[in-house]
Amino acid sequence: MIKVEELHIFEFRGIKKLNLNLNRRNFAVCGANGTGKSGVVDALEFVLAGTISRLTGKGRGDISVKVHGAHVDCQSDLEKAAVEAVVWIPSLNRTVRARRTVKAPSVLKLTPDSPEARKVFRKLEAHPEFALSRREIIRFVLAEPGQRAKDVQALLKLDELEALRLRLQRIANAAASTSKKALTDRNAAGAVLARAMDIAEVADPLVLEAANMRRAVLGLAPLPELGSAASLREGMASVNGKQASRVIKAVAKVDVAAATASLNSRVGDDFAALLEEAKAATCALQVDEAMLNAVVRDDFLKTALELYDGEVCPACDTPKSLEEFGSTIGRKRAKLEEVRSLRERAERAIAPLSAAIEVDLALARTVYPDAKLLLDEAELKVLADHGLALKAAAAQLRAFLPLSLTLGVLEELASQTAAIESFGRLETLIDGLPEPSDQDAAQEYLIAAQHRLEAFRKASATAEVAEDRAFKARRVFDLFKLTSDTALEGVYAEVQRDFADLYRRINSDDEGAFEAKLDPTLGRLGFGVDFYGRGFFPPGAYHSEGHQDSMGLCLYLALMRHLLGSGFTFTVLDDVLMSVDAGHRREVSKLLRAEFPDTQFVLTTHDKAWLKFMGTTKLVEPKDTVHFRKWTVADGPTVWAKGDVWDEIRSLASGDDVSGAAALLRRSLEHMASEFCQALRVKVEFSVDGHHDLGDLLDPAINQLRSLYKEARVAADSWKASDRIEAIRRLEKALEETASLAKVEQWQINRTVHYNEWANLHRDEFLAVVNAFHALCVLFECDACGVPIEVSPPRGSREYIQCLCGEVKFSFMKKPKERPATSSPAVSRALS
Amino acid sequence: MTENMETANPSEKVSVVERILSAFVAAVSAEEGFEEISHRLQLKLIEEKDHTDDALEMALFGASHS
Repeated sequence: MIKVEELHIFEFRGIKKLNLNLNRRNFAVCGANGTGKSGVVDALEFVLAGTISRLTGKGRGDISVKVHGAHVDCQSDLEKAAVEAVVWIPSLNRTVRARRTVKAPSVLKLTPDSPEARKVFRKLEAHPEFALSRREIIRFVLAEPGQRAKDVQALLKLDELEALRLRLQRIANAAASTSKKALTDRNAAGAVLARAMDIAEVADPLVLEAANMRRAVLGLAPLPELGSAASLREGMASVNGKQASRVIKAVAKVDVAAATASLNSRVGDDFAALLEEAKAATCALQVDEAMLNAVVRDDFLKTALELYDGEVCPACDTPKSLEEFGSTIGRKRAKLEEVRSLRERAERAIAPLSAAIEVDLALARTVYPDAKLLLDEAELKVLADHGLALKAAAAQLRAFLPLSLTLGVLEELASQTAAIESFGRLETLIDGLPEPSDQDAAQEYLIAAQHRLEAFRKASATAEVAEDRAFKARRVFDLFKLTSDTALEGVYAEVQRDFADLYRRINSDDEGAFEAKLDPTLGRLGFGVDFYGRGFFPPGAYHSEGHQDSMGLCLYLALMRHLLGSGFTFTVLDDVLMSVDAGHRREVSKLLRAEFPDTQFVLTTHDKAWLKFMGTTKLVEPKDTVHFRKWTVADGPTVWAKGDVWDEIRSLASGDDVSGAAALLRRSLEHMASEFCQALRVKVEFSVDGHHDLGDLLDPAINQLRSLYKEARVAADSWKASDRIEAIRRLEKALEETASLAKVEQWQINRTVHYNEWANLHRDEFLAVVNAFHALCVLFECDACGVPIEVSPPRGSREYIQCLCGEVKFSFMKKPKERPATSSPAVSRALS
Repeated sequence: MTENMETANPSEKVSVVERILSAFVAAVSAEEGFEEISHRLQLKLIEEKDHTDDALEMALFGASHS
């Protein structure tokens, strides 16, 4: 996606001001803990993605980028707290300057600006995982399988698929529910039709037979078949399609009888038993207030899940990822498992009562038009109230909560029979209607039947559409699950192969046959790694921390390569290999260089040896490193630059702070001496804690350089290379003079006393010491490239003493001695 | 988000998610009677990158879904 050319940090985190030239190349930041390395990582992440994951991850409480992103002394002027980066975009072959301020982290200023460049930055914002710390990388290998699946899915942006799966599932469930309701309505319409036609069930032959009987009474031709548009009244003149405005005695009678019978069933033993069970189950949820609250809470959580839009919590409008939100709600609901079980039992017990009320309601609606024509106002009101009560009861039972209202409905169900009397009165009035003639009865029959047939056809069509939708929604959901599961298995298989290959490259010495298994099942991602051919185990089971570190790195690299492919051009690895041993770090360096030649790595480390490996394997050129020497709140990190430090020491001394200057001189010399020892392969007295002070390092380094020059001069002499001999002699002479001037040996006599005594020197005396050591240190470096002169190769037989640019390069190889002349033919043959 | 991802094969230049969505749409189109749904899914999920409930219901049930 991008490569970074320059980074400029102002008043940001622990950094006051820092400019780094990365030049699109790999770059290393080295420094002890607390010297400001992570500030560079934060700055890169901030300017590229607009965030600082260290401040925004889980468990960060009230820490935020806006409040804590600026330098602690710059809280009042967040506009000044800014990061700029000059970024090269390979796909556009264009360089842009990006800038963000802590005041408005989401506002990206691009110069020059363009939609194409912004699109690239949107990619980066979507991939903040380009900057990962050891803690973040190791989680991929050590996480619990369920969590690993989520982490890996989030990295691969597969959480989007999970959100889509949930939406498709929700639509399929809703379609199934709609279909179920439509089927219920269709059956109810069928029952109403069958009752009006006095047939056992709605079947074409039965409908035709019953209708044709009445048509024969009217002298109408029989209908041969009952197509989807056929009218039972076909041939009947002057009758519109609406329900007749008078009571059709036969139909009204059966409707009222059905309504009465249904209501009467509430006083039977069966209904009473159902009612008692439902009340008991509901009361079980109401035993104490806490339980009641849990029920309400569970209902709220269910609603929250339904209302979640994939981005923002519906309760508090806080942005929440699907994973985070689902996990929170799921965790809370798991605690309510007991409540949920009780609730399901209660809802099951209420279901048949609810169905009975729905039937009563449908019947009341059917009867009401006739009642309106026959009953007086007071009686009609009783029926109207009955209908409204049924409607309210049905709604409350569907809602379930609050429990007190549901219990109230259940209590009233058995006694909700006041309408029976009105139904009886209605039945009497219907009975009192004059009997129609056969012809009138037949005509009324056909009118009512046609009206209900049309309602049934409409309900059937609705049910058919709903069923079709439900089927298709379910099938599409199933296909999504199937294809995504299969595809993900393929993704994991590729990542698994790549991961194992990368890990083998690092550990070819002892795990050349290493294999790994990524096993995605049921939302979990199992991760097994081969342990020396003894089987597959979790990475944390037997492998050392160092191996786990390199596994984390390899898995991350495999995932990123799979995710971004050729777009994997930039990543920041923040102290990711702290537990990996020296030999394997070298292999990691070689791997990064060989396998990811187009990726710009920015690496931080507190370990100078690791930095050295990056240099010797050419992963990072010496000029592409920055060494943080110290850090203060006021100034931030002080970058290790040799010229600067000498100026700083002199400045302190000139300001009469000889004590501070002496301390800085000693720390700086210790650092430089350790670099010289490393470069010249100096044998240093062993220290179990790895700490060496100046006396342990500088004198051996001088002796080693002296010895190496001598060895190189002897070699040059064997070749009679007079120019080389002369050059080496000049270097030897300079070394002797400056070492003598610095009186290193004298200081060495009692280093404890003398080094500490620097602080007691007069300013001018001390400056003389500084100048002497400065001149000495310069001799360990190439005049041209400024890089310490080193022995090559770093291990094995010494071949050269050289610098980076080649200006200094002296061989240790002597000219072989000439073979003595032989006179004996036998000897000549043997030698040939 | 998905528009930005590229696969390990630079020549393809499609994301993991897009690959999976393409496979999904292909599987739907292979179902008898699902051709129109697959066209609408292709339009909404892949071309318009609209994964909202409304877009999905439109894709599944057509313009008159509501």
